[in-house]
Amino acid sequence: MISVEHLVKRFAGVVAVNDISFSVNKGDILGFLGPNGAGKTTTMRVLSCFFPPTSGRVTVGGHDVVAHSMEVRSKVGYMPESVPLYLEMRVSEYLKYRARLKGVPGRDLTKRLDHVVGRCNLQEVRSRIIGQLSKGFRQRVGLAESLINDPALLILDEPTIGLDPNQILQVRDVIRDLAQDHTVILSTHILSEVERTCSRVIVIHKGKIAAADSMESLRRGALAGGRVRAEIRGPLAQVREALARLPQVSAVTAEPDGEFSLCTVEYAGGQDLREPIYAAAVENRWGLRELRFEKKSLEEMFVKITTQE
Amino acid sequence: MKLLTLTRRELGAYFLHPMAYIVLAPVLFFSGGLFADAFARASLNGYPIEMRHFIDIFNFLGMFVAPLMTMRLLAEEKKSGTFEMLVTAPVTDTGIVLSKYFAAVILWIFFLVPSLFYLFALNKFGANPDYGAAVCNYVGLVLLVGTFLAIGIFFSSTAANQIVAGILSFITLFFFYLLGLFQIESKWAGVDWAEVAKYASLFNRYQNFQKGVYDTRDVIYFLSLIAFFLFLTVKMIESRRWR
Repeated sequence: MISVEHLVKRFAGVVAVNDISFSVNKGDILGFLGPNGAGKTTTMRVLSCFFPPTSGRVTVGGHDVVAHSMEVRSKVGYMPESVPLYLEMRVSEYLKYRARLKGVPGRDLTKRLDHVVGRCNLQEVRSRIIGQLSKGFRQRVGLAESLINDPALLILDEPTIGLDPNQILQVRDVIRDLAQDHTVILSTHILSEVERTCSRVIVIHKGKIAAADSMESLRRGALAGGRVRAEIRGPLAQVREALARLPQVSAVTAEPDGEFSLCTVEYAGGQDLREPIYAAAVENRWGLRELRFEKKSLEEMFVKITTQE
Repeated sequence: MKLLTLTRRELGAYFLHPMAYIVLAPVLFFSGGLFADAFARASLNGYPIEMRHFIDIFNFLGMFVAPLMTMRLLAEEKKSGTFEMLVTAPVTDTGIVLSKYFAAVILWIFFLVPSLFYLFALNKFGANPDYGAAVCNYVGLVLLVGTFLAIGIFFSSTAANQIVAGILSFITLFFFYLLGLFQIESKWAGVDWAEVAKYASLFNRYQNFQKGVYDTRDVIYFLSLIAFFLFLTVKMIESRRWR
């Protein structure tokens, strides 16, 4: 669906995107992850034909974004981060205007309008003036606009920014629904969002791809190893020593809590350390009150990827 | 087809903003006042009333009205971000500029329509206006203010703030206006600059139409200026691609 080869985008003196390549298949929900100023929006603007790349080749649905810009534009639904809308227009009026502009034939106009209004839950504000709507509704009008011509590819820049938790869930549902017959690229810096909606992730950092993979393998790679919390009744120093002796342990922290020692054991490698810890406690005749495996969070992965140089 | 969609939105936007009404009210007020004045004086003194007595005001008004009509067109889109939506839609940059320009010209023609009533009134009271000269006058007004509007759109595309755009285009139009008043004998490097100023002034060109003289050279002069400024505007919009 999308192929990006050696994309470079340079602005006067600044390299915003520096030689990135990736491809997206039909039906994927690709998440662009990265700190502010990493080059997410720039990449999306190239894909939506706002400006051409400085160098490199970008195709959408087989069409080059420079040579066949019009074909690409009519296949893409794009929602910029600020969700710009004509505030003086009414919702249905605006959606109809954009539909005509995007070449939706007159006979399908009402059908498409009803469809996107239903999908984005805009029934109650259909004939309201956009300028009077709340941020959440405007966001959904923007989403409806990007869907109006049933594009093969949706590019959404921070689609859930500024929404309340209920609205975030609704928008996520819409996006997941769409993925059945659309390809979606969304950027975000909310990590749990990527975790919940995306099938693939690209982490961009300083204009380069820092990591790209499916959600699962990304987690496995960057989060190799794990962390176990153990609360053991035993002398602090001895407990710490015994745990540190276990295989592949990289760090042990322990603090006293009455008779107990509250320990956190970090280790590398894929093996589960809970049983060896249990065995160590039994061997030393220490009591064991809690033994819990803690999944490393996506936040930790993100920090790890974007801080390693 | 897309051009029609865009033009319709631009025209609609004029009436959704208070701008169209704010501009239309003084245009009607001043032209109406002038007509009443010219009519009264003519009948008092017993000389025939001519069209130029009251249509004169329109070219002068155009100088104020055109910046107001055009300053918003691109500056506002850039400021609110809708520019990004516009240029990523499957329409060409030329289409965007032309639609905005056409909408402005159509609105100006719409402003001129009520003045037809004065012609009708003259006819009714037996003044027997020269219809040929009237047509020439209107053509001239559309061409003259059409040029103002093209200049206005160009400045709107250069500035991110519509007030700045409006001021810049007004200053430019005022400069052209002063150029026409330039009378001093000044020969420098073998060129008569007063003559050059007269040649370049938009208002002097328009005076031929006002007299009822239709000269193809004047039409080409205006049309080429319009094309030039619209071309510059398209280039300004395209500049996002290489900046």
